[in-house]
Amino acid sequence: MTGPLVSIEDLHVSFLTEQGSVRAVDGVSFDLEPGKSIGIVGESGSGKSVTAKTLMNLLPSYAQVKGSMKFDGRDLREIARKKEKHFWGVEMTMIFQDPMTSLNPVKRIGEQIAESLRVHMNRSRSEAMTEAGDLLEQVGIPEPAKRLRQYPHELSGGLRQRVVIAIALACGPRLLIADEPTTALDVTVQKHILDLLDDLRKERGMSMILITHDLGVVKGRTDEIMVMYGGRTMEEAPTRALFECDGLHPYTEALNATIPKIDTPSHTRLVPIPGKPPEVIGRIEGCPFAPRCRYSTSECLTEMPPLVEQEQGHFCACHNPVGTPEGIKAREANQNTGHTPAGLDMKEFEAFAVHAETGEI
Amino acid sequence: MGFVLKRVAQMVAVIIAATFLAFTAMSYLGDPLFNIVGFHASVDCDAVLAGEIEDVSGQGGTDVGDCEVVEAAREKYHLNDPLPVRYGRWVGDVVQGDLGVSFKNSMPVTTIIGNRIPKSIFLMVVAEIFALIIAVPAAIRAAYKANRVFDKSATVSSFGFISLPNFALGVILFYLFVVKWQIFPSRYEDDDLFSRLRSTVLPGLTLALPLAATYFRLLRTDLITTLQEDFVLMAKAKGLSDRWIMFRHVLRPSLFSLVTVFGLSTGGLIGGALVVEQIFVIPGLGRTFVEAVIRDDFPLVLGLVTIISSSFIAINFIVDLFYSVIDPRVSRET
Amino acid sequence: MKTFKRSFGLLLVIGLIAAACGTDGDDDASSSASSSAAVATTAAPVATTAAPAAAVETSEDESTLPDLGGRTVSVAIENAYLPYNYVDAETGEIGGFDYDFFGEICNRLNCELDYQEFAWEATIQSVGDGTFDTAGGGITITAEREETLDFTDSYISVDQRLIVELGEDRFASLEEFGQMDELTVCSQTGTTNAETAIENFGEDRVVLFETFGFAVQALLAGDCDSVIMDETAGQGYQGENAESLELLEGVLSADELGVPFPNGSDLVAPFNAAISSMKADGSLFELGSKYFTDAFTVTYDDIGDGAYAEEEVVPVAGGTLRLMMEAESDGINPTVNRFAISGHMMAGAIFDTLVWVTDDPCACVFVGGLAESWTSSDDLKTWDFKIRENVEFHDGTMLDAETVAFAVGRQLADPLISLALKPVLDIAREGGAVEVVDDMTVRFHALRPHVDFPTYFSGQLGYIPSLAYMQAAIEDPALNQMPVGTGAFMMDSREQDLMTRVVKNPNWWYNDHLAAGEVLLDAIEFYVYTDSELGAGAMEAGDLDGVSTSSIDAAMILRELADDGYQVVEQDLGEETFAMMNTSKAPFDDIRARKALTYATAKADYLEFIGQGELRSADTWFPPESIFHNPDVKQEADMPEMAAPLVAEYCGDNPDNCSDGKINMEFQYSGPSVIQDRIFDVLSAGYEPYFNVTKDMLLQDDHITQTAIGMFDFLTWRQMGARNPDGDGVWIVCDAIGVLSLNWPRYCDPARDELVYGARGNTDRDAVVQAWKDVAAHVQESYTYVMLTHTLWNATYDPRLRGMCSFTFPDGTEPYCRGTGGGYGSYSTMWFEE
Repeated sequence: MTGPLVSIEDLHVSFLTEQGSVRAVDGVSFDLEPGKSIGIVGESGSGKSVTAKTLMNLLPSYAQVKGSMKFDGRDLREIARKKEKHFWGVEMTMIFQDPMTSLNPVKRIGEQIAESLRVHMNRSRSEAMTEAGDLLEQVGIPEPAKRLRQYPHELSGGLRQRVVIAIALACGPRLLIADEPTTALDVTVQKHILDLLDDLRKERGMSMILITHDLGVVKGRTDEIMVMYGGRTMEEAPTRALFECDGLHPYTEALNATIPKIDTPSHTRLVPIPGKPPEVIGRIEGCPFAPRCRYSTSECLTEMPPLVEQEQGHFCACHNPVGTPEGIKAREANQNTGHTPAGLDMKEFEAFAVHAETGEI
Repeated sequence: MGFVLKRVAQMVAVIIAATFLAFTAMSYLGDPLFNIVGFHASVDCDAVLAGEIEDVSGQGGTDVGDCEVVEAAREKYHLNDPLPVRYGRWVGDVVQGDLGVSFKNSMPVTTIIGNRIPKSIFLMVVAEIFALIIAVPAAIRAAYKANRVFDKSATVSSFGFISLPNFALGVILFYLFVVKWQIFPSRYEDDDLFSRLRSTVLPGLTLALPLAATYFRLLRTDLITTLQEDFVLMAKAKGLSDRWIMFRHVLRPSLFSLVTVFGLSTGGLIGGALVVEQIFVIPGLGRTFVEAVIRDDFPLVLGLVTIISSSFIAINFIVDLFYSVIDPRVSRET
Repeated sequence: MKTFKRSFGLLLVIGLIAAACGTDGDDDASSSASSSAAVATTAAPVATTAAPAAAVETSEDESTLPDLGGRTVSVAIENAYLPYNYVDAETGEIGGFDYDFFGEICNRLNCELDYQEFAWEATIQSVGDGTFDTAGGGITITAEREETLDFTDSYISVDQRLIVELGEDRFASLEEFGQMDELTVCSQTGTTNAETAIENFGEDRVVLFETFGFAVQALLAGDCDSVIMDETAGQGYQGENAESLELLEGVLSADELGVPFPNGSDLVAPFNAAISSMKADGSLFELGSKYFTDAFTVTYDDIGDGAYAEEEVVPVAGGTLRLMMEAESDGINPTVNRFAISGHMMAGAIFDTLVWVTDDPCACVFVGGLAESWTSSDDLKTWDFKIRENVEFHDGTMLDAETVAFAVGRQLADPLISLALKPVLDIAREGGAVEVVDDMTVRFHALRPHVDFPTYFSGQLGYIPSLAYMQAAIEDPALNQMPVGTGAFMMDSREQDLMTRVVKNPNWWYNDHLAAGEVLLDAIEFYVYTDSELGAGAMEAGDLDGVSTSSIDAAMILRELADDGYQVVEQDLGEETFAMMNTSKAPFDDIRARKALTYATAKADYLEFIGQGELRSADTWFPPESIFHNPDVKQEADMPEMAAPLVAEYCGDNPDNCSDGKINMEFQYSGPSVIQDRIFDVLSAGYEPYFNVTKDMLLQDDHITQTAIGMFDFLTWRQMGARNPDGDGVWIVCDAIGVLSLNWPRYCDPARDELVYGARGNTDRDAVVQAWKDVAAHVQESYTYVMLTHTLWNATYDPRLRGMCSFTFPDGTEPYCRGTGGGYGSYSTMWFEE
């Protein structure tokens, strides 16, 4: 098979509410090759989850979708309209943030895994159960036979998430979308889960979209990273390239600065990005990140920067990317005035500066 | 096992409380003696026996002989004993399976109740089945397409049925289906299962419609709530059909409120379908109970209280057990 | 004299016509005209002119008549019109002019006659359309009829006259009668007589009946002033009822009678030939003399209904009767359970009573039931009842004196029954009031001379269950639900508050006396419908065959069913509703208070709001139809102005019983009941200006108890209605008063007692009637009751049900049947017509 597995082009998703139309995704495009993984990073409200749900046809009825989404050359919207029975959960699956609520509390684990097998793969009850047991093993759950008969509330958080992963992989999908799969878990468990995902992905040659607000999660794991903000793609680059320069986009730089380190003493304050997330109703003039950007210029407030390929395969949507002459100049100008064109006080960025200058990332 | 014993002990405690209350009430509000010796019970026999009252005329009135009969009856039925003793005696009889004999027609209470319970139970079962058949699919449909046409009209009608007094509904159904269109019989027919079913349709409906309305509202709300849960989203992501999700994932966890109310209403139906029994001429426990109270039929009232409260408790006990079936997180001990 | 002249005149006419119509058909018209003209000048005013006859075929040879070859001629005939055709009521033989006339014609023509009974109303039409070949009954030839019929030549001329009551002095002639517009003429529908009457006197003055017989009866009864008839036929009436009727001077019109055939019938010619020949040889004249003169003595009393007779219906056995009861009975053992209406409904099927009562208005004529006969001592205090032999109970045991004595004894053991019977039976007697004399004789001892003593054994006291059963039921009271009696039906099954079923007793001892020889119904099912309106609905739905209720609302529903053929009967002769006061304590121990209450009773409002305009106001016991009713006793009420001074006076003397110048009283009633609440509201509104009315609602059992022990001031009640008034004596005699009293108001009036007991022992029926009328007067003067209404009972039965009142006693008398069934034994004669 040639060509990308997933191909999204100029995706716009908005929700019709009483207050008006809420833009959640405002022109996102990316491709994903088979067997590769991409991390979509952004804070809540950036549109990353909505993008995923749009792909999975999980949007409510009051959502409006424009643009094209293709999976293996097939139009996803067409597939949704035709109500194909054995596509979702078979070719593409998704796992969610909180494994406790992702599982039906009144059904046994085994049943929940076996379900997909019985519905999509036509297995008999006993066959499905056996396979479920195998899947539990594959995701690293000890005593799988016993677990099959247990209820979700009888397992710990990490085990539960493994179960969720087992469910998602039951039918051998070609694409797995993981929406904040570790956010609800302990830090130690997080790594195990992420490792598991990696292993499984490589074993099966599966593509993966890993969605997170934490750059640290995707660092060194995904093949590519896409940073979203305000429903838009801010930066898109191969992972290595992104981290080599700490991100070209000011937002990416800020995200980097906020990654808590493993050796950060406890009780250290987490570094927030100054400012507030953007309004989602109505159109935004200019760059959505401008109000919070220390590299912003007045141009940023009025004109949306296009996504431009700065280096080989590295795209950035910014007038004054980090490390570029424009960027340096803009920052200095703001430091001189003491605030950004949007009115943000430069002092708020001091914590950033510490991190940036130590170079520890 | 200990769990079961505990529940049984609870049951017994409740029954004792209920029957003692009834026993006391009946003793003070009515006169058991009246039903045994008739009019003479109201006469001041102590005075007559002491010679203080003369007959107004030689021929009429209660004389010493009559009063001796009254005294004998008093002794025989232990009516001179204090209340707790009489109650204790009654409990002793019950434990041996003797609920006494009706004052009205001297038939054993167990026989009277035994005759009527099947009818009440049959009616109750039919009514609840109807109620569920109406309410559950409607609630599912309404929750699935919340706030759309079906949901709105079903909700409005459910208000209607809840607020309509059941005697009005019963009489309307009676006149339409029995008198005008002559589809159903006008009274309870016991010949075979089919005729019994036929005569239970209308009274069952009369009881079922208001119940269904309540069940509908409760279940619908719970279903809508459950539908917002993440695991539903997960299930959709698994590519399961809406139908599968509704019936295999959403329904069971949404049953709590419904099951609770179901238990209460069923228990209430055992002895509480009086109005419907009157309209459709069904000799069930409800009618019997009211008539027994009005007539001061002591043993019958107590027997009925015992049976009705036991049934109520038993049903709710089963309901409690059922909770843990619905949701395994709820242990049986709860 | 008059008669003779008339008949002679008629004969002359017939004779002359016969002569004139001799041999030549062609000459008929002219010769008859001339001969009748001749007659007109000589004969008495009976003269008629013969109308021109229809065209007639000449017979070639006067001596050879056509031969019809045995052909059958169908003749429609009423068999109820003198003197043309009738059926003798006693012998069933037919007779009349028509039979002889047609018979002779067919003799001559060689035809067969097929007479078919047919009502007059459709006869002309039916001949016209060919259903019949011809018809009898002296049919007049008219132009209108000739449109659809072909007539033979006239065979008789007939005058139309009026007959009136003998000695009628309001008018003396047709002219006078004609001028008196208020006078009526009666006739039979569809006849030329009727048309003539209408023509002459106008439709308003003409009244029509189905048969002539009815018209004449109406004249005799004074409902008609005259009857118009053919003069030939008038002879018949005149002959028999000469004392009562006479012909009025004057002739309204003269008609010719002819034999009718359908247009174009080929029978006209042969018949004409035959008639001619009969005229020629005088046989027609002979017939005339036989039937149209005094020689004909048959009257309408002698003949049957002919075509108008109702069809005999033969009862069909089988079927289950489904009846409604308004309440359930505690049990059906007459010796243990006290029967209200539902109890009696069921007991009446299962048991027979010792004594039966006929429908004689005095309610004092008795027939033996289980007791074959009885004798009394001269002092009417000792009664020996001979028990009927060979009467088998449903359980196979036999009826004997011991059983009867036991049954009556058991009933007497009930405190309430014994209280009711203490004034009647000598219960205190050494050895008791009941004795077994021998195997089949029971002796009862009455307390006082009692002419109608047996009446007590026609009710619950007379129901006799089997001895084995009574004894078993004492041991096991559950058997009270499954009694064993001697009656037409036996217990089959019973489920209290649902349905009781009884089945036919094939060995009922009374079977030989039944017209059908057996009980017709297979079974009766009694269903309990505590709400009568729902019961009426069930009837409409076809689930019940009989409903009996005193609820006005249910009655209204049932009345509508009459349109669908249901048999609805209502009567209010059985019971009264009244208010009564307790005279044994304040305030109603004072007659002023009682009078004041009586005057202040809002009876008109009661009749309007409670009776809803449906109930008859009652002034005294016994409905106006009863012989015991005293028309002079009128219930005073609705006169509040008269209450005021009495209340003032009473309160002046008894301030403790009054507040704010109003007398304090408690109004007790039984509830919960919507209707009782309403009654309370209506009546207390009327009392309000003079009484402080306190509501005292009690449950039914308490209500009865309190009433019996005299713990009430005022209440409403339903009672009375015993056909034999002695049965109601217990409610008013002094002896009934005690700590427990059945004389609820506790009013003792020795003079009244004397009347009651005197009537009880008086063999002079008229004196008894008068005594009870006097009792009513006494009751009114005592101001203890305020009579309100007669209770209205509605009984409605399925359209197919028959025989509700067909039961008769062996001597031919009948029990009292209120048209609604429920009389003695009526279940045994009921049946379903398909």
